[in-house]
Amino acid sequence: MSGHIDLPQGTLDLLILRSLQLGALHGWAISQRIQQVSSDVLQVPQGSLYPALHRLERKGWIKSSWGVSDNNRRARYYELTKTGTRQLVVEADNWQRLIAAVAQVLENG
Amino acid sequence: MIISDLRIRMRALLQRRQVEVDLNDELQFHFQNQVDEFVKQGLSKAEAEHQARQRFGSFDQAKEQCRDERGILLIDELLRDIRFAFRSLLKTPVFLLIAIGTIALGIGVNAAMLSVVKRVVLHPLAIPEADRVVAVTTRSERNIERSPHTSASQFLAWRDGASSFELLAAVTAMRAQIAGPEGAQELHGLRITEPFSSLAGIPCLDGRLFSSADFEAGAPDVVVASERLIREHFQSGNRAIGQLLRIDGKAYQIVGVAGRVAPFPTDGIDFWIPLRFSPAQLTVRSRRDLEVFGRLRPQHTPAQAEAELNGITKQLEVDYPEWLKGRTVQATPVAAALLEEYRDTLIVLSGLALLTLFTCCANVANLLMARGMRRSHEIAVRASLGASRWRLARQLLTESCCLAFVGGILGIAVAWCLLRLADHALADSPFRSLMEPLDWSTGVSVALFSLALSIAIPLLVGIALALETLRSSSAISLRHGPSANPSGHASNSLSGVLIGMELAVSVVLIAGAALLIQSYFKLLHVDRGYAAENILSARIPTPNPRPSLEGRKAFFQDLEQRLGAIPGVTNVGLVTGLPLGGLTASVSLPASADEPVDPGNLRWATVNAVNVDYLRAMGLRLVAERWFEDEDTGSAAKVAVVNETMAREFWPGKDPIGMEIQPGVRIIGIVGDVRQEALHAEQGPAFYALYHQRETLAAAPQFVVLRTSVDPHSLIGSLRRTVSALDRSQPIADIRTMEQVLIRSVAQLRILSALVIGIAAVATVLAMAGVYGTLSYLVGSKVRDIAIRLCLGARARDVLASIAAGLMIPAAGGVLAGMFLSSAASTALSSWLYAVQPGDFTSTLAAAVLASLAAVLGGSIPAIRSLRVDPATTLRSD
Repeated sequence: MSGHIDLPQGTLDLLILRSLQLGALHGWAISQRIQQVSSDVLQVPQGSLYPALHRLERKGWIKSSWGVSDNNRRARYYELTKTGTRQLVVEADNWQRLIAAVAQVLENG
Repeated sequence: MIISDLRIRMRALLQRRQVEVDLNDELQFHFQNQVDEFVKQGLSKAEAEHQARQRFGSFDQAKEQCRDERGILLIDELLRDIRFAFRSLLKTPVFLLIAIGTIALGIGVNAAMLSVVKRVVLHPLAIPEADRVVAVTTRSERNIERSPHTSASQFLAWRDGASSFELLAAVTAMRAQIAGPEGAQELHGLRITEPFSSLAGIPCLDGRLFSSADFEAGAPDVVVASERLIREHFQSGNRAIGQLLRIDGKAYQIVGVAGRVAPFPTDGIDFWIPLRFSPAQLTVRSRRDLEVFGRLRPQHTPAQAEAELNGITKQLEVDYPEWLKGRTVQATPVAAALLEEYRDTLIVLSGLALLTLFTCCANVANLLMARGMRRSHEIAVRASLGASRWRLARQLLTESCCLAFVGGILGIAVAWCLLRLADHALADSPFRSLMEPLDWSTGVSVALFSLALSIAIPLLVGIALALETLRSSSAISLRHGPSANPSGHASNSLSGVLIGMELAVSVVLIAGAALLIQSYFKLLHVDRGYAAENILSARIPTPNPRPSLEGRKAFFQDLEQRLGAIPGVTNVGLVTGLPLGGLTASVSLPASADEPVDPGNLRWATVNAVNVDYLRAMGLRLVAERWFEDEDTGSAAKVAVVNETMAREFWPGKDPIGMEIQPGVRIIGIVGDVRQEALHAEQGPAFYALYHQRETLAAAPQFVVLRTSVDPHSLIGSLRRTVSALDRSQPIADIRTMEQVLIRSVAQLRILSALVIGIAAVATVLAMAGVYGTLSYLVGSKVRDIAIRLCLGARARDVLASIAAGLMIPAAGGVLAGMFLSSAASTALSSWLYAVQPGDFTSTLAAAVLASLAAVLGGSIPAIRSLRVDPATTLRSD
């Protein structure tokens, strides 16, 4: 998996929330979405994705329900809750401020 | 957030299987999609699966991580620990049974005793607002009058004038005859003023309690009866309300039935009658026969009430100085007084409870330590397989806690049984009111406290063991094999200390038991002054309405004759106050027969109206001159016989024979003192007079005493029949042999002795078991060492000595410590001891010897086992 960057945990949460902003997705779709939109740079290992999804569900930011997928299999779909939507804004905001700060430090040292 | 959090956690706990299925499905779905993706990219199915599997990583690891995220990790592990703990405990069933049994015993005894103590301390008297209730008494400075009671006029003045009281009530105690289905019965009752029902919190089971109308002059005579009275006098099925009860010959209508009442002011009250004041009672000079009780208003202190009541009395005094002068009024809180009475008992009970708990915990600690050390090999193996030290330690802790919890629950069951048992056994004894029903809250709080204690001790031991585990080196344990004890030196010395302390406790308890047993026997064999074998006694109270003096005398003469005719009866005695019978009559006598009666200088003596045969019936000792003879009954000259104390105190240095007690009453002889009030109390001045010569019924004989040539029990029926044949309305009560009377009088001491002996036995057996277990373990763990040393030529005896030495020193120390402690501890028993001091050396020494014997006995089996070690087989088999 060289060439791909490992994701820190907090960031993964942010990405999951963003992926779900446009509608409910199952776990596979979320990982595909993140991979595609980041042009294959970000690949989420399954060992991190599902624990993260369960953690977010426990926090109440997303909720899950069982349904049938496109290929007629039983799948678990996740969608944002109201709290999750609010949290997404907060997390995104924090992220922007973080990278701005890091960039500043790198530039001016 | 919190709701969803909880929901998910609950679901993870309760629907475990479904959650696992969901997890599996979810991950499988992802995997299948990954495979499909690879297939789309052109790989073969097999190749796609292979790649996907590589990509995916370990299923199980993914699952584990998801499980960790469920938030029930801790609970999950805890449940697993508990399951494992039970499995490993069940592998050693003997240890399990002994450990749980010991904990249950310790907790049970402790909880039972502390429940009683706590309830008595918090609610010594079960009446409403007991802490605000006081008893109002009057003391006279000039005359140490026996009666602290109040006159009606004084009571009414207080009632109308005092503002410190919410309620103020007066009562008169009555012993009255109730005509029952089997002849007359004498029962205790109270005449009460109106507020008393509320004051004493009398519960009404049927009908009603008294209302104001019942207390008005001319109102019909009504009575509230106790449940017991109704049960014994009326057939079930008939409603008692409205029926008539004949009390002292007068008819009262039953208006209410009372339920279980607190023993206030005394125990055994069976009926209540309204107290109405007659005009004669309202004069100031009337008799003082009222007991007064009051409930203070909130925020008012007894001292304030006293000041107020004294003020009112002083105002009365102004008008009637010669009768009321010098009286002081006191208000004493009743609950506090009762508590004071129980104080010594409570201290002893608490001490016994804690000592039992301590011994049981020490034993359990020893058991746990021995077991922990035995498992060091198993733990080492598990540690080497990857279990974290912390996890192992937690497991040991969980085991201790499970043990403690189960033991604790059992202990509460034991406590409940013990309390039921005690309630039943003490139903008839002076300790009865200690066993008043326990309410829920006391029981629950004591149970929780005991449970916490029961968990705390094994927890501490578990922590010690866990620390030991964390510290110990796995490698060494593995090398030494399953039976070795590589790092247990600290635990061994701790074991020794615990055994020492247990033995100390044993010594203290055995010494206490010895002191009580000695007191008991010394009391029973004290020089009583009268016989006790083959004597039957019964109480024959003067009936109400009172017969005439002549009539009563004729009755007694008839009775003497008829009772004497019963086969098996050798002597018939009549007396006012039976020794230990609970009743005495006293009379005040002038200091000297020649001087006029001076109220300030009176002396009191007990008076007994007797018949001629009483001396022989009771076995009294004649000291000087003579007793009464038949001639004295008919003659006009009044005679009396005094006891030694009266002779000594009233006529010091002189011979009382021929002197006069009262004008016209001449002393004809002296008899020995008897133990009248109690076996440990020496008698005060007393004298005997013939009932034939008495001029009032005041101190008429109340008891009949039969000396028999056969077993006294066999004559009970004849006695009863003879009395009722003579007079059907004569009540007869308390038919007992003199031996029974003696034993009843020491009931408290007997019960306490039994309790202390029981606890001492338990503690000693536990200490013995502790010695057995510890020494057994020591020998077992050192069996290789013993074998080697025997091979090298050591004598079996020396080997044993070196092993046992580690245990003998703390044991001996414990016994010595126990000897020192017991003299201090036994002071708690001083109110029950008779003729023996708390630090009595013989008892202490006997206790030390017994405890040491127990220890040696406990250690003997492992010791013998160690001597039998066969070096060849032992070394070969390791």
